[in-house]
Amino acid sequence: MENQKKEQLRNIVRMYESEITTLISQKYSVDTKDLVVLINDESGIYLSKEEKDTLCTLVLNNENGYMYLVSAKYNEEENTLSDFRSDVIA
Amino acid sequence: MREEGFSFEQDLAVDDGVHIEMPKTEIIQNDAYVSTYDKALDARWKESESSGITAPNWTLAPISIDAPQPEVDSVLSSPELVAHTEQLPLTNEIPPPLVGGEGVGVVPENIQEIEKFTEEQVATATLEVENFVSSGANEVALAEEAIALPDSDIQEVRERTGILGKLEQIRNQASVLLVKLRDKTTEIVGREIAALTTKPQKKFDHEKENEYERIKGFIRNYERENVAPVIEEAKRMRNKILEERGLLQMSQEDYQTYFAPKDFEVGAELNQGNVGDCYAVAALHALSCSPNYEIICRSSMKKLPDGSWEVKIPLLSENGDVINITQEELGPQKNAQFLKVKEGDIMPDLRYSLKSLGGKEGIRVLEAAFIKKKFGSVDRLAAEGGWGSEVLESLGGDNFKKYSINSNKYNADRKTHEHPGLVSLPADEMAFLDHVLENFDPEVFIATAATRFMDTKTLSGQVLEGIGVYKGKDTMQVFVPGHAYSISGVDKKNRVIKLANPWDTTKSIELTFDQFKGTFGGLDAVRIDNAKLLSNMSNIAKSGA
Repeated sequence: MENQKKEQLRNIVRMYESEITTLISQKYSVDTKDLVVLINDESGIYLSKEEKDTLCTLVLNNENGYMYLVSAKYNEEENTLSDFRSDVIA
Repeated sequence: MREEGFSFEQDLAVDDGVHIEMPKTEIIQNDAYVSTYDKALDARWKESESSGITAPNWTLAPISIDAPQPEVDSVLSSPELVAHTEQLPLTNEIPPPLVGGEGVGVVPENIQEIEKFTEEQVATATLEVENFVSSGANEVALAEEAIALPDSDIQEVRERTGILGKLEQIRNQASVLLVKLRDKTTEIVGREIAALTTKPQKKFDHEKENEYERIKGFIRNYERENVAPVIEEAKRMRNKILEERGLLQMSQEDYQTYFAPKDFEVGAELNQGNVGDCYAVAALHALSCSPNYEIICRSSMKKLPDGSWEVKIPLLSENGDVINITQEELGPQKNAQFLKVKEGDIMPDLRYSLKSLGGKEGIRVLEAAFIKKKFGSVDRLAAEGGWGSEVLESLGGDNFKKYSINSNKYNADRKTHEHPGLVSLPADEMAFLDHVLENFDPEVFIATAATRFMDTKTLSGQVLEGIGVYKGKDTMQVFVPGHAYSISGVDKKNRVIKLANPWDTTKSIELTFDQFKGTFGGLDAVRIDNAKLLSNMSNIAKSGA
């Protein structure tokens, strides 16, 4: 069940991967080709315990070494993400 | 045509770029002492109406004076003055208003020229008025002598005509007006110079662009989109990723026991002990203030069952050397130089033993590992003297990128080393320093700073004799010369740097950017490269599998 849920999150992040990298690219003036969404890491994608219905994903910039957090409101019924936000975390 | 948003009642744009603010009530048009200058300018404005510039609408200030108008006018309508005003080119390009306003677009040479010119004209006018008064008085005296009247009669005539009184009045009033003119010029020039010195001149487009970048950076740094708990959660998840990849060899429990500071803001509680490796202690303290400290320690260090430690240096690196540190190596060492006098010293070395820094075991291991890596053994005596960046680079390897600025320089003429402080850096290096400080992020940067060396010339007036310390610039705090301090954080909003002395890192020292630049001589910083870090760790995991 847990694995199924995790896979569901991975799938939706894959669907929105382009939006996620574009968001970072525009906000921080970096190239999308340098950005890697850590989809395959167990903790790379998760539902926040701090904020309800918020899906978080970690993104690494291979060029400058920064790691970003992109969060979005997750509508489980419609399987959609909205209200994207991003920050540098490391 | 008047430019939108530009008021001639407030501003007098004289030439290409010169922008002098002159309150209208202070301008005395058509008056004897300033009329020529004003008229000439007025004429120039009127001439240029065809090019879209209107003459200024100055309000006249009424003034009454018995001054000898023609004489003074002749001085002020000198060919030099007229020629000068005619040479001033007019422009309808009004500099765009920027934050701060004053000083924008002012050319220093023009300010100096105006100042000099005004001084010369005022001096000439003063002299001419004096000559006129003296000459008048002489003529009166000669006339009185020629008519050969008794003194009492002459006195009576003088009183009736008031001729000498009038001459004195002319001199006084002329003097008052010239002083006013000089004061006004000094005030305007002073204001413009002050604006220039507080704001570097930049081309307008660049200024706008920089302003945009600054605001963008501000938004990035201060107005985080995600709330703090969500960001903290993300950082924990980042650590979990490293753990999941099997890259953290030390348990959380061991980290808490051997490394974790009581107060994260303060970082590790350290004191240097009796070895002169302040640079290493400062670097280790700066490292302990980094949010990456836990990851760095847990991924690169391990305590073995026999009590010894394995440390991989560079930390976090794939190809690091494994350094073993035993409990004996952490203990005090006999000082081989005990009671010996070092070359150049007067006093013998009175330290019987050399002790490691005071603090938790883990960070003492890091100090020992750095020394062993560099000197082949934990030779504390050999480790005396060095640079913070050397330690950080040695510990961090290619996961760290170095940022180093040093103001110390060698004067070939005097054949001496000079230590003028960071405040003396050339413009490009100063811009770089400001960039590092203004964008200092403890999540990314680890930094130390070195105070200026004892130099009686550059530290003149600051050294407190007999104590071996000097007073920081514009602060009552004192600093040890030639000593490394750690940077534990930067308050970018208030432009304040938080530092700690390795002698006791629990006490925070706060300096403004300016105080810091005047007090310190060098900055050594490294930036953590997360991509390389993860890549290296990933490779380590693969090779270990």
